[in-house]
Amino acid sequence: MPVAGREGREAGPELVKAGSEHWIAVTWRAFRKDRFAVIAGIVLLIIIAAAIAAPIVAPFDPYETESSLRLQGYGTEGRLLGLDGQGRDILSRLIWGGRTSIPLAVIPVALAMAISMALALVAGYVGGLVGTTLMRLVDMLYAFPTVVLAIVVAILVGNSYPSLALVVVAVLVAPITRVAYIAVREQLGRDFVDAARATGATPLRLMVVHIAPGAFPSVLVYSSTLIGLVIIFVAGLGFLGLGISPPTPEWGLMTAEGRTLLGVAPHIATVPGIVIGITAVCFNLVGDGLRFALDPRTRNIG
Amino acid sequence: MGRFLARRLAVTLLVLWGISALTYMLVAILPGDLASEILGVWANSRSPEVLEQLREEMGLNRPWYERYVVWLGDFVRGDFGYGVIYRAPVAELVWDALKNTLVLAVAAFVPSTALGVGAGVFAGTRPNSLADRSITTLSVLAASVPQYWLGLMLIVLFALHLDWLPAAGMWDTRNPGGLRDLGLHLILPALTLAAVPTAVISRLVRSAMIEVMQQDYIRTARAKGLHERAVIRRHAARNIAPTAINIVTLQFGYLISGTVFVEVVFAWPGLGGLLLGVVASRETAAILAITMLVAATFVLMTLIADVAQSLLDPRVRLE
Repeated sequence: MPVAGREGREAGPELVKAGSEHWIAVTWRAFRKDRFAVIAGIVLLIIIAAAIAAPIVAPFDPYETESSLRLQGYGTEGRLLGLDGQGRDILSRLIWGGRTSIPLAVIPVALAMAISMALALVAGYVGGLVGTTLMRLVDMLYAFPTVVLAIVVAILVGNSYPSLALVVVAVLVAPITRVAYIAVREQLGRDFVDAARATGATPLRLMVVHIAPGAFPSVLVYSSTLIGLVIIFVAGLGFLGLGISPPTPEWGLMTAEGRTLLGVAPHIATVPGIVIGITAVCFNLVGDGLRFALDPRTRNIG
Repeated sequence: MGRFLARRLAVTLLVLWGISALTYMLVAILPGDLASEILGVWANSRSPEVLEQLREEMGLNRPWYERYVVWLGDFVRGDFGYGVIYRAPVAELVWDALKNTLVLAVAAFVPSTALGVGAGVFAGTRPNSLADRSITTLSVLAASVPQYWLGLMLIVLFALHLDWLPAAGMWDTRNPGGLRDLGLHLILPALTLAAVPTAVISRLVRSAMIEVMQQDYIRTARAKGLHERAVIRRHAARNIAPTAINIVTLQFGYLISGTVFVEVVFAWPGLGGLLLGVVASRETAAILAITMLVAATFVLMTLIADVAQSLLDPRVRLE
C-alpha cells in the first residue's frame, strides 16, 4: 500500500488523489515528507529494537556488579557510558531499561485509547442522560490533578507493572475521551451515518463500522502526541520512587539513583535523563509528523 | 454571563464533590490505614488486638461512606482535620506548604509568560524563517526535557561546579531569612519549573499569531501603508491578547499542580513533597485537603481563563 505514494507525488496536487486512497496511504505519503519525523521514527525504532534484543545487544549483564570499576565515567575500557554506584554497566542497564520504560508508556496509551473510544462512542451515540452523565464523570476525572491522582494511586496500589499501567491509564482516559467525544459527535452529523441508519444498521454496527473509523484518526493523533509526555511521566514516577522497585533497570529509577552521587559521578544521573529526553523528543516529533500528515489543512503548509 | 457563571460554578462544585468522594473511597478501600502506620509494622504483626483497638478509637473500623459523610460535614464547615504524623492541624500544614509552592510557581510563571509570549509573537510573525525554526525546535526540546533531570543538571552546573547558587532548600541552613537568601534559592527551581510552560505558551501563541496574520484586516492594515511594527502591535497583538491570556492562565493552573518533581529535586518545602508524605502515611484528612485545593485551583483557573477570554473578545461567547 505505501508504494502507491511515489507516482502520486510526481503526478501533481495530491489532495485530488487523496479521496480515492486509503487514509493510511495518504498519511504515510505526507508523513514521509517530514524529514524530522522520519529521522525521529528511525531513532525510535533503533531504541525499541535494542530493548527487544536486549539479551543479545547489551554488552553486560544489567545486574552484574564490578566493584573495582564503581563510579567510573564514560569510555572506561569497553564500558561506553560508564558504571553506576554499584559498579553496574550503565549502557546495558539503559538497554534493558527500555523494556520497562517504553511498554509502560505505550501500552497504557493504547489501552486508554480503546477505553476512550468505547466511552465516547457510547456517550455520543446513546446521548441523552447516559451520555451527559458519562461525560460529566469524564470531566470530573479530567479536573483531577494528574500528579495528585498518580501519586495517590501509585502509592496506594503499589509498584507492580499492572498497577503502574493502571495509574497511567487513569490519568489518560479523561483527556483522550474528551477528544474522542468531539470526533464522534462530528461523525454523527454526517450523511453516511444517517444513510447507514436508514438501511437498518444495528447500533453496534453503526458505532463500530461507520462512526469509529472516522473518529479514530483524531484520537490517534492526539494520543501519539501524549506518548512523549507519558514516557517522561512514567520515568518521573520511577524517579519519585513510586515506579518499579530496584534493582530492576528503569530509566527514571536510574536517574534517581544518580541523584545522590551528583558530586562524585554526575554521569550516572545525566545519561538516563538524556535517553528519556531523546525518546520523548522522538515520540513528540513522530506525533507532530502524524498530526500534520493527518490534517489536510496544515498538510501543505508544513 | 450571569447565568453562565452560576451554571459553571454549580458544575464546579459538583465536580469537586465527586473528586472528594472518589479520593476518599480510593484511600479508604485500599489496604493499610493510618492506625497501622502509627503503630508500625512490628507492632501490627505482634499485637493485632492493639491495632484493632486503635482503629476503633479512631473510628477507622466504620464503613468508608459513613466516615466520608462525617469528613464532608467537617470540611464544608472549615474543619480540615489534624495531621497525626506531622503533629499539626491540616489547615496549618497545607497553608505553609501552599505559600512555598505559590512563591515557586509565581517565580516560574512570570518569566515563562514574558518569554513564551514574546517568543511566540516573534516566531509567529515570521513563520518558517530561521528564527521561527530555531524557536520551534527549542520549544520542542524544552517540552521534552524531563523536569527532574533538568533540575539535576542545573545543580551539577551552577551549584556543584560553579558554586554560584545553593543546590537545595528554600533558605540558608545557618543564616536563614531575607529576600536575597530566598531569591538565590529560588533561581534554579524556578528556572527548571519554567521550561515546560515557556515552551507550551510560545508554541500556542505562535500558532495563534500565524492565524491572525492571515486575516483580512491585517492585509487591509498593511495595504493602507501602516508600518509592519504598527500592524503587529495595534492589530495582530491586540487580537491574540484574549487567546494568549486564556493560554497563560491555564498554564498557571498546571504549574500549581505540577511542582512535585521540582520540589523533590530541590528539597523545596511545598505541596508536592507534603502530598508524597501524607499519602505514604495514609493521612486521609491531609490527602483530601491537598487534593481539593489543587483540584479547585485547576478548575477555577479553567473558569477564569474562559471568562477572561470572553470578556476581552466579544466574538467568544460562553454558552
